[in-house]
Amino acid sequence: MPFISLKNIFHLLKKQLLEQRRFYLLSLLGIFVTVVIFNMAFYYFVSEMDRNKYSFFCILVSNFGFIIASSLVAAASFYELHNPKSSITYLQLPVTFPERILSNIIIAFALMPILMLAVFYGTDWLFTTIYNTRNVPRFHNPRLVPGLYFAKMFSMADYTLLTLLLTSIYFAGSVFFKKLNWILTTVTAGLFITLLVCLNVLPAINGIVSVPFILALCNKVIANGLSRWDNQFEQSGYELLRIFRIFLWCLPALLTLAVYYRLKEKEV
Amino acid sequence: MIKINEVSFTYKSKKPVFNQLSVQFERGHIYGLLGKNGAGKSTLLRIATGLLRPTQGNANVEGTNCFLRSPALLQKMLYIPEEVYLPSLSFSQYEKIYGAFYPKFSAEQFRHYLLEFDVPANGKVNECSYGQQKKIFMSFALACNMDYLLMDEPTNGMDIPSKKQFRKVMAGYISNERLVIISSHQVRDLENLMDTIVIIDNSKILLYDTVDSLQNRLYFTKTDTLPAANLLYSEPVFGGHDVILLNDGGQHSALDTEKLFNAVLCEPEAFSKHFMQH
Repeated sequence: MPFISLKNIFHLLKKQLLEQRRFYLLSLLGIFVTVVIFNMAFYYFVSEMDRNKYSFFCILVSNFGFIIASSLVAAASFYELHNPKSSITYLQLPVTFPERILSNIIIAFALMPILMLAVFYGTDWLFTTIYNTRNVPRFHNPRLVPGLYFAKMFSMADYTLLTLLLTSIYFAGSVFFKKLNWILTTVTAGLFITLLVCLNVLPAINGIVSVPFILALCNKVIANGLSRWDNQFEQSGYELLRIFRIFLWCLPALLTLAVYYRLKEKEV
Repeated sequence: MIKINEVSFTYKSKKPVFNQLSVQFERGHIYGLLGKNGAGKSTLLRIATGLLRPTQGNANVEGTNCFLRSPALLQKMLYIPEEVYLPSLSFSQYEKIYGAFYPKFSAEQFRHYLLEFDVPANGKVNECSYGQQKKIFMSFALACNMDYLLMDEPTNGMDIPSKKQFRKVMAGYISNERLVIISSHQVRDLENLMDTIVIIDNSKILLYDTVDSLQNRLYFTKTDTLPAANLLYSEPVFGGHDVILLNDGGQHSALDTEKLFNAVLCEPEAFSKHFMQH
Protein backbone atom coordinates (compact mmCIF):
# COMPACT_ATOMS: atom_id res chain seq x y z
CA MET A 1 0.00 0.00 0.00
CA PRO A 2 1.53 3.38 -1.01
CA PHE A 3 2.64 5.85 1.65
CA ILE A 4 0.60 8.64 0.07
CA SER A 5 -2.21 7.86 -2.32
CA LEU A 6 -3.76 10.73 -4.28
CA LYS A 7 -7.03 8.82 -4.35
CA ASN A 8 -7.17 8.72 -0.55
CA ILE A 9 -6.28 12.41 -0.28
CA PHE A 10 -9.05 13.20 -2.74
CA HIS A 11 -11.55 11.16 -0.67
CA LEU A 12 -10.43 12.87 2.54
CA LEU A 13 -10.74 16.32 0.95
CA LYS A 14 -14.20 15.50 -0.32
CA LYS A 15 -15.23 14.21 3.09
CA GLN A 16 -13.88 17.22 4.94
CA LEU A 17 -15.30 19.82 2.55
CA LEU A 18 -18.72 18.22 2.59
CA GLU A 19 -18.87 17.64 6.33
CA GLN A 20 -17.60 21.14 7.14
CA ARG A 21 -19.32 22.91 4.25
CA ARG A 22 -21.36 25.13 6.54
CA PHE A 23 -18.27 26.36 8.41
CA TYR A 24 -16.31 27.04 5.22
CA LEU A 25 -19.21 28.81 3.53
CA LEU A 26 -19.87 30.95 6.61
CA SER A 27 -16.16 31.84 6.82
CA LEU A 28 -16.15 33.00 3.20
CA LEU A 29 -19.43 34.84 3.66
CA GLY A 30 -18.08 36.53 6.80
CA ILE A 31 -15.01 37.71 4.91
CA PHE A 32 -17.15 38.93 2.01
CA VAL A 33 -19.42 40.92 4.34
CA THR A 34 -16.42 42.43 6.17
CA VAL A 35 -14.75 43.50 2.93
CA VAL A 36 -18.01 44.94 1.63
CA ILE A 37 -18.45 46.98 4.85
CA PHE A 38 -14.89 48.32 4.61
CA ASN A 39 -15.28 49.19 0.97
CA MET A 40 -18.62 50.88 1.52
CA ALA A 41 -17.18 52.88 4.42
CA PHE A 42 -14.28 53.84 2.20
CA TYR A 43 -16.39 54.97 -0.74
CA TYR A 44 -19.11 56.70 1.24
CA PHE A 45 -17.26 58.42 4.07
CA VAL A 46 -13.87 59.29 2.71
CA SER A 47 -13.57 62.22 0.40
CA GLU A 48 -12.04 61.94 -3.05
CA MET A 49 -8.81 63.61 -1.92
CA ASP A 50 -8.09 61.20 0.92
CA ARG A 51 -8.58 58.05 -1.08
CA ASN A 52 -4.89 57.57 -1.70
CA LYS A 53 -4.10 57.43 1.98
CA TYR A 54 -7.17 55.47 2.84
CA SER A 55 -6.35 52.77 0.31
CA PHE A 56 -3.23 52.09 2.39
CA PHE A 57 -5.49 51.45 5.35
CA CYS A 58 -7.72 49.17 3.24
CA ILE A 59 -4.79 47.09 2.05
CA LEU A 60 -3.56 46.66 5.60
CA VAL A 61 -7.01 45.64 6.81
CA SER A 62 -7.36 43.15 3.96
CA ASN A 63 -4.00 41.59 4.69
CA PHE A 64 -4.52 41.35 8.44
CA GLY A 65 -8.03 40.07 7.86
CA PHE A 66 -6.59 37.44 5.56
CA ILE A 67 -4.04 36.33 8.18
CA ILE A 68 -6.65 36.08 10.93
CA ALA A 69 -9.19 34.32 8.71
CA SER A 70 -6.55 31.81 7.59
CA SER A 71 -5.67 31.13 11.21
CA LEU A 72 -9.32 30.56 12.12
CA VAL A 73 -9.77 28.11 9.26
CA ALA A 74 -6.58 26.30 10.29
CA ALA A 75 -7.96 26.03 13.83
CA ALA A 76 -10.87 24.00 12.38
CA SER A 77 -8.56 21.30 11.04
CA PHE A 78 -8.87 17.82 12.54
CA TYR A 79 -12.34 18.76 13.81
CA GLU A 80 -13.05 15.02 14.04
CA LEU A 81 -10.75 14.75 17.03
CA HIS A 82 -12.81 17.18 19.08
CA ASN A 83 -14.96 14.43 20.54
CA PRO A 84 -14.30 10.73 21.20
CA LYS A 85 -17.19 9.48 19.02
CA SER A 86 -15.98 11.17 15.85
CA SER A 87 -12.34 10.44 16.76
CA ILE A 88 -13.09 6.70 16.65
CA THR A 89 -14.60 6.98 13.16
CA TYR A 90 -11.80 9.23 11.92
CA LEU A 91 -8.92 7.16 13.28
CA GLN A 92 -10.43 4.01 11.79
CA LEU A 93 -10.46 5.37 8.25
CA PRO A 94 -8.06 3.21 6.26
CA VAL A 95 -5.66 5.98 5.24
CA THR A 96 -2.09 6.74 6.27
CA PHE A 97 -1.19 9.55 8.68
CA PRO A 98 0.67 11.59 6.04
CA GLU A 99 -2.51 11.44 3.93
CA ARG A 100 -4.58 12.75 6.83
CA ILE A 101 -2.16 15.62 7.45
CA LEU A 102 -1.72 16.45 3.78
CA SER A 103 -5.45 16.70 3.16
CA ASN A 104 -5.76 19.15 6.08
CA ILE A 105 -2.75 21.13 4.88
CA ILE A 106 -4.26 21.43 1.41
CA ILE A 107 -7.46 22.89 2.87
CA ALA A 108 -5.96 25.11 5.59
CA PHE A 109 -2.86 26.33 3.77
CA ALA A 110 -3.89 26.34 0.12
CA LEU A 111 -7.53 25.88 -0.80
CA MET A 112 -9.12 28.18 1.77
CA PRO A 113 -6.46 30.93 1.56
CA ILE A 114 -6.88 30.97 -2.24
CA LEU A 115 -10.66 31.22 -1.89
CA MET A 116 -10.28 33.95 0.73
CA LEU A 117 -7.92 35.96 -1.44
CA ALA A 118 -10.37 35.55 -4.30
CA VAL A 119 -13.14 36.93 -2.05
CA PHE A 120 -10.93 39.83 -0.81
CA TYR A 121 -9.70 40.94 -4.17
CA GLY A 122 -12.87 40.00 -6.04
CA THR A 123 -14.92 42.26 -3.78
CA ASP A 124 -12.34 45.01 -4.10
CA TRP A 125 -12.37 44.68 -7.89
CA LEU A 126 -16.18 44.80 -7.88
CA PHE A 127 -16.25 48.01 -5.86
CA THR A 128 -13.53 49.75 -7.82
CA THR A 129 -15.41 48.83 -10.99
CA ILE A 130 -18.76 50.06 -9.68
CA TYR A 131 -17.32 53.37 -8.44
CA ASN A 132 -14.92 53.70 -11.33
CA THR A 133 -11.90 54.26 -9.07
CA ARG A 134 -9.62 51.58 -10.52
CA ASN A 135 -7.05 54.20 -11.44
CA VAL A 136 -6.75 55.68 -7.97
CA PRO A 137 -3.06 55.09 -7.04
CA ARG A 138 -2.47 52.85 -4.08
CA PHE A 139 0.38 52.17 -1.72
CA HIS A 140 1.21 48.67 -2.75
CA ASN A 141 3.96 48.03 -0.23
CA PRO A 142 2.62 48.69 3.21
CA ARG A 143 5.16 47.61 5.79
CA LEU A 144 3.85 45.23 8.42
CA VAL A 145 5.49 46.45 11.61
CA PRO A 146 5.89 43.16 13.59
CA GLY A 147 7.10 41.54 10.39
CA LEU A 148 10.00 43.95 10.31
CA TYR A 149 11.70 41.87 12.98
CA PHE A 150 10.99 38.58 11.28
CA ALA A 151 12.28 39.34 7.84
CA LYS A 152 14.18 42.30 6.55
CA MET A 153 12.59 41.80 3.19
CA PHE A 154 9.65 42.98 1.17
CA SER A 155 6.27 43.21 2.79
CA MET A 156 5.03 40.16 0.90
CA ALA A 157 7.61 38.01 2.69
CA ASP A 158 6.48 39.48 6.00
CA TYR A 159 2.88 38.68 5.24
CA THR A 160 3.65 35.20 3.99
CA LEU A 161 5.79 34.36 7.00
CA LEU A 162 3.32 35.78 9.46
CA THR A 163 0.40 33.99 7.79
CA LEU A 164 2.34 30.75 7.69
CA LEU A 165 3.39 31.06 11.32
CA LEU A 166 -0.04 31.83 12.69
CA THR A 167 -1.75 29.29 10.45
CA SER A 168 0.65 26.53 11.47
CA ILE A 169 0.33 27.41 15.15
CA TYR A 170 -3.47 27.04 14.98
CA PHE A 171 -3.12 24.00 12.74
CA ALA A 172 -1.00 22.33 15.42
CA GLY A 173 -3.32 23.68 18.12
CA SER A 174 -6.27 21.89 16.52
CA VAL A 175 -4.63 18.57 17.38
CA PHE A 176 -2.93 19.53 20.62
CA PHE A 177 -5.55 21.68 22.32
CA LYS A 178 -8.82 20.43 20.79
CA LYS A 179 -11.68 22.62 22.02
CA LEU A 180 -9.31 24.99 23.81
CA ASN A 181 -7.90 25.87 20.42
CA TRP A 182 -10.96 27.97 19.63
CA ILE A 183 -10.51 29.96 22.83
CA LEU A 184 -6.80 30.26 22.11
CA THR A 185 -7.54 31.36 18.56
CA THR A 186 -10.10 33.95 19.59
CA VAL A 187 -7.96 35.42 22.37
CA THR A 188 -4.76 35.58 20.35
CA ALA A 189 -6.59 36.86 17.26
CA GLY A 190 -8.08 39.61 19.49
CA LEU A 191 -4.62 40.52 20.80
CA PHE A 192 -3.20 40.39 17.31
CA ILE A 193 -5.88 42.71 15.94
CA THR A 194 -5.36 45.17 18.81
CA LEU A 195 -1.61 45.17 18.26
CA LEU A 196 -1.93 45.68 14.54
CA VAL A 197 -4.51 48.41 14.91
CA CYS A 198 -2.21 50.24 17.33
CA LEU A 199 0.88 49.79 15.25
CA ASN A 200 -0.36 50.11 11.71
CA VAL A 201 -3.91 51.25 11.25
CA LEU A 202 -3.85 54.14 13.68
CA PRO A 203 -0.91 55.85 12.01
CA ALA A 204 -2.74 55.48 8.71
CA ILE A 205 -5.87 57.02 10.14
CA ASN A 206 -3.89 59.71 11.92
CA GLY A 207 -3.02 61.22 8.61
CA ILE A 208 -6.59 61.66 7.47
CA VAL A 209 -8.93 61.77 10.46
CA SER A 210 -8.54 63.16 13.93
CA VAL A 211 -8.25 60.49 16.65
CA PRO A 212 -8.53 61.01 20.38
CA PHE A 213 -5.41 62.41 21.92
CA ILE A 214 -4.75 59.38 24.13
CA LEU A 215 -4.74 57.00 21.16
CA ALA A 216 -2.39 59.25 19.29
CA LEU A 217 -0.11 59.32 22.30
CA CYS A 218 -0.16 55.54 22.67
CA ASN A 219 0.59 55.21 19.03
CA LYS A 220 3.56 57.54 19.29
CA VAL A 221 4.98 55.74 22.35
CA ILE A 222 4.70 52.34 20.67
CA ALA A 223 6.18 53.61 17.43
CA ASN A 224 9.12 55.19 19.26
CA GLY A 225 9.72 52.03 21.29
CA LEU A 226 9.72 49.83 18.21
CA SER A 227 12.01 52.14 16.37
CA ARG A 228 14.52 51.97 19.23
CA TRP A 229 14.26 48.14 19.27
CA ASP A 230 14.86 48.05 15.55
CA ASN A 231 17.99 50.18 15.92
CA GLN A 232 19.35 47.85 18.59
CA PHE A 233 18.82 44.93 16.23
CA GLU A 234 20.69 46.73 13.50
CA GLN A 235 23.60 47.40 15.82
CA SER A 236 23.87 43.89 17.27
CA GLY A 237 24.44 42.55 13.76
CA TYR A 238 22.39 40.85 11.13
CA GLU A 239 23.72 37.36 11.84
CA LEU A 240 21.45 36.79 14.82
CA LEU A 241 18.49 38.16 12.93
CA ARG A 242 19.24 35.90 9.99
CA ILE A 243 19.38 32.78 12.20
CA PHE A 244 16.16 33.85 13.90
CA ARG A 245 14.51 34.33 10.50
CA ILE A 246 15.59 30.89 9.29
CA PHE A 247 14.18 29.39 12.46
CA LEU A 248 10.89 31.19 11.91
CA TRP A 249 10.62 29.84 8.38
CA CYS A 250 11.33 26.33 9.70
CA LEU A 251 8.83 26.59 12.54
CA PRO A 252 5.74 25.66 10.44
CA ALA A 253 7.52 22.51 9.24
CA LEU A 254 8.48 21.60 12.80
CA LEU A 255 4.91 22.17 13.97
CA THR A 256 3.58 19.95 11.16
CA LEU A 257 6.01 17.24 12.23
CA ALA A 258 4.69 17.56 15.78
CA VAL A 259 1.14 17.17 14.41
CA TYR A 260 2.20 13.98 12.64
CA TYR A 261 3.59 12.39 15.81
CA ARG A 262 0.66 13.56 17.91
CA LEU A 263 -1.81 12.02 15.45
CA LYS A 264 0.12 8.76 15.28
CA GLU A 265 0.10 8.43 19.06
CA LYS A 266 -3.49 9.58 19.46
CA GLU A 267 -5.62 7.21 21.57
CA VAL A 268 -9.39 7.13 22.02
CA MET B 1 -6.69 -14.21 14.03
CA ILE B 2 -6.66 -11.48 16.68
CA LYS B 3 -3.99 -12.13 19.26
CA ILE B 4 -3.70 -10.25 22.52
CA ASN B 5 -0.25 -10.94 23.97
CA GLU B 6 0.34 -10.30 27.65
CA VAL B 7 -1.34 -6.95 27.48
CA SER B 8 -1.29 -4.60 30.43
CA PHE B 9 -3.27 -1.41 30.26
CA THR B 10 -3.89 1.45 32.66
CA TYR B 11 -5.87 4.60 32.04
CA LYS B 12 -4.10 7.72 33.24
CA SER B 13 -4.08 7.95 37.05
CA LYS B 14 -6.43 5.01 37.50
CA LYS B 15 -6.07 1.41 38.62
CA PRO B 16 -4.90 -1.08 36.00
CA VAL B 17 -7.58 -2.43 33.65
CA PHE B 18 -5.50 -5.37 32.43
CA ASN B 19 -2.43 -7.02 33.77
CA GLN B 20 -0.62 -9.47 31.47
CA LEU B 21 -3.83 -10.49 29.70
CA SER B 22 -3.53 -12.95 26.84
CA VAL B 23 -6.37 -14.14 24.65
CA GLN B 24 -6.91 -14.96 21.02
CA PHE B 25 -9.86 -14.91 18.69
CA GLU B 26 -10.08 -17.10 15.59
CA ARG B 27 -11.87 -16.55 12.29
CA GLY B 28 -15.17 -18.28 11.67
CA HIS B 29 -16.62 -17.52 15.10
CA ILE B 30 -18.96 -15.08 16.74
CA TYR B 31 -17.54 -14.36 20.16
CA GLY B 32 -19.71 -13.03 22.94
CA LEU B 33 -17.49 -10.88 25.15
CA LEU B 34 -19.41 -10.65 28.39
CA GLY B 35 -18.68 -8.78 31.56
CA LYS B 36 -20.06 -6.32 34.07
CA ASN B 37 -19.95 -2.58 33.47
CA GLY B 38 -16.37 -1.42 33.78
CA ALA B 39 -14.91 -4.92 33.38
CA GLY B 40 -12.75 -3.73 30.48
CA LYS B 41 -14.71 -5.05 27.48
CA SER B 42 -14.59 -1.79 25.53
CA THR B 43 -10.95 -1.29 26.46
CA LEU B 44 -10.09 -4.75 25.15
CA LEU B 45 -11.91 -4.08 21.87
CA ARG B 46 -10.19 -0.71 21.47
CA ILE B 47 -6.80 -2.26 22.09
CA ALA B 48 -7.62 -4.91 19.49
CA THR B 49 -8.49 -2.24 16.92
CA GLY B 50 -5.48 -0.07 17.69
CA LEU B 51 -7.45 2.79 19.19
CA LEU B 52 -5.63 2.33 22.49
CA ARG B 53 -2.00 1.49 23.02
CA PRO B 54 -1.26 -1.13 25.69
CA THR B 55 1.22 -0.04 28.35
CA GLN B 56 2.81 -3.47 27.99
CA GLY B 57 2.45 -6.33 25.52
CA ASN B 58 0.77 -5.98 22.16
CA ALA B 59 -2.30 -6.76 20.14
CA ASN B 60 -1.86 -8.02 16.61
CA VAL B 61 -3.98 -9.17 13.73
CA GLU B 62 -2.37 -11.65 11.33
CA GLY B 63 0.99 -10.61 12.73
CA THR B 64 0.45 -6.85 12.25
CA ASN B 65 0.61 -4.68 15.33
CA CYS B 66 -2.84 -3.08 15.67
CA PHE B 67 -1.55 0.22 17.04
CA LEU B 68 0.29 0.91 13.78
CA ARG B 69 -3.21 1.40 12.30
CA SER B 70 -2.04 0.39 8.87
CA PRO B 71 -4.59 1.11 6.13
CA ALA B 72 -4.34 -2.52 4.94
CA LEU B 73 -5.51 -3.67 8.36
CA LEU B 74 -8.13 -0.95 8.77
CA GLN B 75 -9.69 -2.03 5.47
CA LYS B 76 -10.38 -5.43 7.02
CA MET B 77 -11.24 -4.46 10.56
CA LEU B 78 -13.87 -2.18 12.05
CA TYR B 79 -14.88 -1.37 15.58
CA ILE B 80 -18.45 -0.24 16.19
CA PRO B 81 -18.49 1.79 19.41
CA GLU B 82 -21.40 1.93 21.82
CA GLU B 83 -22.12 5.51 20.77
CA VAL B 84 -21.60 6.07 17.10
CA TYR B 85 -20.79 9.28 15.25
CA LEU B 86 -22.54 10.12 12.03
CA PRO B 87 -21.76 13.30 10.10
CA SER B 88 -24.27 15.78 8.78
CA LEU B 89 -24.71 14.07 5.41
CA SER B 90 -27.58 12.55 3.48
CA PHE B 91 -27.72 8.76 3.13
CA SER B 92 -26.38 8.80 -0.40
CA GLN B 93 -23.58 11.24 0.49
CA TYR B 94 -22.63 9.14 3.50
CA GLU B 95 -22.62 5.99 1.40
CA LYS B 96 -20.48 7.57 -1.35
CA ILE B 97 -18.02 9.43 0.86
CA TYR B 98 -17.34 6.84 3.52
CA GLY B 99 -17.84 3.83 1.23
CA ALA B 100 -15.03 5.12 -1.02
CA PHE B 101 -12.48 4.32 1.69
CA TYR B 102 -13.38 0.63 1.85
CA PRO B 103 -12.65 -1.52 -1.22
CA LYS B 104 -15.18 -4.21 -0.29
CA PHE B 105 -18.01 -1.77 0.41
CA SER B 106 -21.24 -2.51 -1.44
CA ALA B 107 -23.86 0.24 -1.75
CA GLU B 108 -26.46 -2.41 -2.57
CA GLN B 109 -25.77 -4.28 0.63
CA PHE B 110 -25.88 -1.03 2.60
CA ARG B 111 -29.39 -0.36 1.30
CA HIS B 112 -30.32 -3.98 1.94
CA TYR B 113 -29.20 -3.86 5.57
CA LEU B 114 -30.99 -0.54 6.09
CA LEU B 115 -34.15 -2.24 4.88
CA GLU B 116 -33.51 -5.22 7.14
CA PHE B 117 -33.12 -2.88 10.12
CA ASP B 118 -36.19 -0.96 9.02
CA VAL B 119 -34.41 2.39 8.68
CA PRO B 120 -35.96 4.73 6.10
CA ALA B 121 -33.11 6.09 3.95
CA ASN B 122 -34.21 9.70 3.72
CA GLY B 123 -33.06 12.90 5.36
CA LYS B 124 -29.70 13.24 7.02
CA VAL B 125 -28.02 10.35 8.78
CA ASN B 126 -27.21 12.37 11.91
CA GLU B 127 -30.80 13.50 12.31
CA CYS B 128 -32.09 9.96 12.98
CA SER B 129 -32.79 8.69 16.50
CA TYR B 130 -30.02 7.16 18.66
CA GLY B 131 -31.12 3.59 17.88
CA GLN B 132 -31.47 4.30 14.19
CA GLN B 133 -28.05 5.95 13.98
CA LYS B 134 -26.62 2.81 15.48
CA LYS B 135 -28.40 0.70 12.89
CA ILE B 136 -27.14 2.96 10.08
CA PHE B 137 -23.56 2.61 11.26
CA MET B 138 -24.02 -1.13 11.66
CA SER B 139 -25.48 -1.42 8.16
CA PHE B 140 -22.51 0.49 6.83
CA ALA B 141 -20.03 -1.71 8.72
CA LEU B 142 -21.72 -4.87 7.47
CA ALA B 143 -21.78 -3.55 3.90
CA CYS B 144 -18.01 -2.98 4.14
CA ASN B 145 -17.67 -6.77 4.32
CA MET B 146 -15.05 -6.63 7.01
CA ASP B 147 -13.10 -9.73 7.98
CA TYR B 148 -12.96 -8.55 11.58
CA LEU B 149 -15.95 -6.84 13.10
CA LEU B 150 -15.86 -5.77 16.72
CA MET B 151 -19.09 -4.48 18.23
CA ASP B 152 -19.38 -2.74 21.57
CA GLU B 153 -22.81 -3.08 23.18
CA PRO B 154 -24.55 -3.15 19.79
CA THR B 155 -28.00 -3.84 21.22
CA ASN B 156 -28.04 -0.86 23.60
CA GLY B 157 -30.73 1.56 22.49
CA MET B 158 -32.43 -1.02 20.26
CA ASP B 159 -36.05 -2.01 20.70
CA ILE B 160 -37.04 -5.69 21.01
CA PRO B 161 -37.91 -6.28 17.30
CA SER B 162 -34.63 -4.63 16.34
CA LYS B 163 -32.68 -6.92 18.64
CA LYS B 164 -34.29 -9.90 16.95
CA GLN B 165 -33.46 -8.41 13.56
CA PHE B 166 -29.89 -7.81 14.70
CA ARG B 167 -29.45 -11.47 15.67
CA LYS B 168 -30.84 -12.55 12.30
CA VAL B 169 -28.56 -10.24 10.33
CA MET B 170 -25.46 -11.22 12.31
CA ALA B 171 -26.18 -14.92 11.94
CA GLY B 172 -26.27 -14.39 8.15
CA TYR B 173 -23.06 -12.36 8.18
CA ILE B 174 -20.69 -14.87 9.74
CA SER B 175 -18.60 -17.13 7.51
CA ASN B 176 -15.37 -19.13 7.88
CA GLU B 177 -13.38 -16.10 6.79
CA ARG B 178 -14.92 -13.68 9.23
CA LEU B 179 -14.55 -13.01 12.90
CA VAL B 180 -17.11 -11.15 14.96
CA ILE B 181 -16.70 -10.11 18.58
CA ILE B 182 -19.75 -8.69 20.31
CA SER B 183 -19.38 -7.22 23.73
CA SER B 184 -22.38 -6.86 25.97
CA HIS B 185 -23.49 -6.79 29.56
CA GLN B 186 -27.00 -7.67 28.41
CA VAL B 187 -26.21 -11.32 27.90
CA ARG B 188 -29.72 -12.38 26.83
CA ASP B 189 -29.42 -10.22 23.73
CA LEU B 190 -26.65 -12.43 22.41
CA GLU B 191 -28.30 -15.78 23.13
CA ASN B 192 -28.47 -18.09 20.10
CA LEU B 193 -26.04 -15.82 18.31
CA MET B 194 -22.57 -16.32 19.76
CA ASP B 195 -20.79 -19.63 19.39
CA THR B 196 -18.03 -18.89 21.89
CA ILE B 197 -18.43 -17.22 25.24
CA VAL B 198 -15.70 -15.12 26.82
CA ILE B 199 -16.43 -13.76 30.29
CA ILE B 200 -14.15 -11.07 31.58
CA ASP B 201 -13.92 -9.59 35.07
CA ASN B 202 -11.28 -8.00 37.31
CA SER B 203 -8.72 -7.92 34.50
CA LYS B 204 -9.05 -11.66 33.96
CA ILE B 205 -10.69 -14.00 31.50
CA LEU B 206 -12.93 -16.07 33.73
CA LEU B 207 -14.43 -18.25 31.03
CA TYR B 208 -13.51 -18.97 27.42
CA ASP B 209 -15.43 -21.82 25.87
CA THR B 210 -17.71 -22.70 22.99
CA VAL B 211 -21.45 -22.87 23.48
CA ASP B 212 -21.47 -26.51 22.31
CA SER B 213 -18.86 -27.49 24.85
CA LEU B 214 -20.67 -25.69 27.65
CA GLN B 215 -23.94 -27.34 26.69
CA ASN B 216 -22.30 -30.75 26.86
CA ARG B 217 -20.60 -30.13 30.17
CA LEU B 218 -23.26 -28.20 32.04
CA TYR B 219 -26.80 -29.02 32.98
CA PHE B 220 -29.25 -26.21 33.71
CA THR B 221 -32.34 -27.13 35.68
CA LYS B 222 -34.75 -26.11 38.44
CA THR B 223 -35.00 -28.17 41.62
CA ASP B 224 -37.01 -28.07 44.84
CA THR B 225 -34.01 -28.88 46.99
CA LEU B 226 -30.36 -28.27 46.37
CA PRO B 227 -28.62 -31.36 45.00
CA ALA B 228 -25.52 -32.48 46.89
CA ALA B 229 -23.45 -33.65 43.94
CA ASN B 230 -22.12 -31.81 40.88
CA LEU B 231 -23.54 -28.49 41.97
CA LEU B 232 -21.71 -25.54 40.49
CA TYR B 233 -24.14 -22.74 41.16
CA SER B 234 -27.60 -22.15 42.52
CA GLU B 235 -29.91 -19.21 42.89
CA PRO B 236 -33.20 -19.16 44.79
CA VAL B 237 -36.26 -18.59 42.63
CA PHE B 238 -39.97 -18.83 43.26
CA GLY B 239 -40.78 -22.47 44.12
CA GLY B 240 -37.21 -23.78 44.37
CA HIS B 241 -33.76 -23.19 42.99
CA ASP B 242 -32.29 -22.63 39.56
CA VAL B 243 -29.12 -24.69 39.50
CA ILE B 244 -26.20 -25.36 37.23
CA LEU B 245 -24.74 -28.83 37.55
CA LEU B 246 -21.77 -30.53 36.04
CA ASN B 247 -23.24 -32.72 33.35
CA ASP B 248 -21.84 -36.21 33.80
CA GLY B 249 -24.94 -38.13 32.75
CA GLY B 250 -25.23 -36.97 29.14
CA GLN B 251 -28.35 -34.96 29.86
CA HIS B 252 -29.24 -32.11 27.58
CA SER B 253 -30.49 -28.67 28.54
CA ALA B 254 -30.58 -25.32 26.81
CA LEU B 255 -27.74 -23.00 27.74
CA ASP B 256 -29.01 -20.18 29.93
CA THR B 257 -26.45 -17.46 29.26
CA GLU B 258 -27.67 -15.18 32.00
CA LYS B 259 -27.43 -17.93 34.63
CA LEU B 260 -24.03 -18.93 33.35
CA PHE B 261 -22.84 -15.32 33.47
CA ASN B 262 -24.03 -14.89 37.05
CA ALA B 263 -22.54 -18.22 38.02
CA VAL B 264 -19.13 -17.41 36.58
CA LEU B 265 -19.07 -14.03 38.29
CA CYS B 266 -20.20 -15.46 41.64
CA GLU B 267 -18.15 -18.66 41.60
CA PRO B 268 -15.10 -17.88 39.49
CA GLU B 269 -12.93 -20.43 41.27
CA ALA B 270 -15.41 -23.30 40.83
CA PHE B 271 -15.53 -22.57 37.11
CA SER B 272 -11.81 -22.14 36.69
CA LYS B 273 -11.34 -25.56 38.31
CA HIS B 274 -13.57 -27.28 35.77
CA PHE B 275 -13.06 -25.19 32.65
CA MET B 276 -9.75 -24.63 31.03
CA GLN B 277 -8.93 -21.02 30.49
CA HIS B 278 -7.22 -19.85 27.30
